[in-house]
Amino acid sequence: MYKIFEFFYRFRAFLLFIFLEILAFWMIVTYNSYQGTAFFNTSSSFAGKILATENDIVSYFQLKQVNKILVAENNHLLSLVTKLNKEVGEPKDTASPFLKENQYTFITAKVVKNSTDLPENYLTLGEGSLAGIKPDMGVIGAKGLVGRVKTVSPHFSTVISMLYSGMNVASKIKGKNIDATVIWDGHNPSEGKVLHVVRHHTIAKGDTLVTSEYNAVYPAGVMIGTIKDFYLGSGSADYDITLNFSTDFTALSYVYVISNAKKAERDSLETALKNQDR
Amino acid sequence: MTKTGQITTYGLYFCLFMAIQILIFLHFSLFQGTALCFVYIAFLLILPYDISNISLILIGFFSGLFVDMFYNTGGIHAAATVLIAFLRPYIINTLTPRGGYEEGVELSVASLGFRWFATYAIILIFIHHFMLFIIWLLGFGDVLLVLSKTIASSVFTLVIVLLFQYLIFSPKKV
Repeated sequence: MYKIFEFFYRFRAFLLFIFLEILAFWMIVTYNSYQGTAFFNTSSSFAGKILATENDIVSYFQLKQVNKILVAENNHLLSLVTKLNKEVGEPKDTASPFLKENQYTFITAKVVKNSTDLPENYLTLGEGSLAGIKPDMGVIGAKGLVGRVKTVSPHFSTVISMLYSGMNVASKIKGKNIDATVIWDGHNPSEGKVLHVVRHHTIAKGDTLVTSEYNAVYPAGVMIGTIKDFYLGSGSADYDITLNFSTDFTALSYVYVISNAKKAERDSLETALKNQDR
Repeated sequence: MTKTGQITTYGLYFCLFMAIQILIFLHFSLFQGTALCFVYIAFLLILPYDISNISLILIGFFSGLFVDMFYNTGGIHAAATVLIAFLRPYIINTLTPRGGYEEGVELSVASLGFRWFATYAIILIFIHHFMLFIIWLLGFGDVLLVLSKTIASSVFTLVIVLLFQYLIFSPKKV
């Protein structure tokens, strides 16, 4: 018995080291697989408040640039509204109730913290569950797709940026109806990769990628980026495509969180199907 | 230095290095993220020579966890800091200068010289960064990316750590 205690005492540093390493790895695994509320991240009120205060101070010096971006965004939206009005005609009160129903609503949130140069990038937003943000909601910016909500607290939320190793977005090439998946390869914050475009399709530089209907997080048709370059290896079945993101991740100040009124319905249907398959 | 005095001093070092890490280097990198700086581990490097291994590992774990909170990394920094906190005594032993260490020696450029400190720092910084990027970049499955980020970031961190050596510690009084 005494020998056992002596053993533990002698190797106490090593045993503590092993124990804490196991604890750290357990935390990494649970953190990466867990959606919802988490304490040890930037949506915690401690870290969130520090970053928000810092952002308040720094953002004073960026007001001019932020204004410019917002004006440009307004301009773009206004032109879009005029164009759509011309195409659709003036909205009528007698329109079908199905058209009146708004499936998507948008929650505006200020970006408190953003990174583009880490291996896995997150945004911290200055709005949380009190504003109606929930995990797994889509996040877009003025120019296109930004990311997906991971965790929320009452006043803050963290968003997995498109610049993240585990992020893959169901998408399609606009106008050609070619399904694809967009990912980020960890190298350049302005470029992504497009997967699963098989060799019999014809694609061109400048083709636009948007989110597809297979997406539960984003509405269909959200802009992701344009094809910068592509390459077809002689033995490979798929194109190797590089994509220019339409969103400039280094200059995000405000984003829109998408609330999908029909998400719960779709999710429950899909889970039911999955369960049936088993 | 009294025990309380020592705790206060190192408490202030902790706040200083964490503030620099979170207010500056959380938002700043070189070459589009190839070189990141994790200057906060300087705090683990300069902890007293005679600190017990147990306290060192525990301090390593909690400072890593503190940084994880701001980087949204779950426990990746903690895993790396626990590793270097565990290895630190062995590295210090290996690097024993001729004649051994003086009692209660300060682990700094000022008291042990530039060459000793730079060697000591680069070994631990490299181990820390290698461990960190292996786990952090696991999802990409890209060995070259791990190596390039580890090497570039180690150099970046080393330069900043050495810079702080000259800013904080006054030169040896003869």
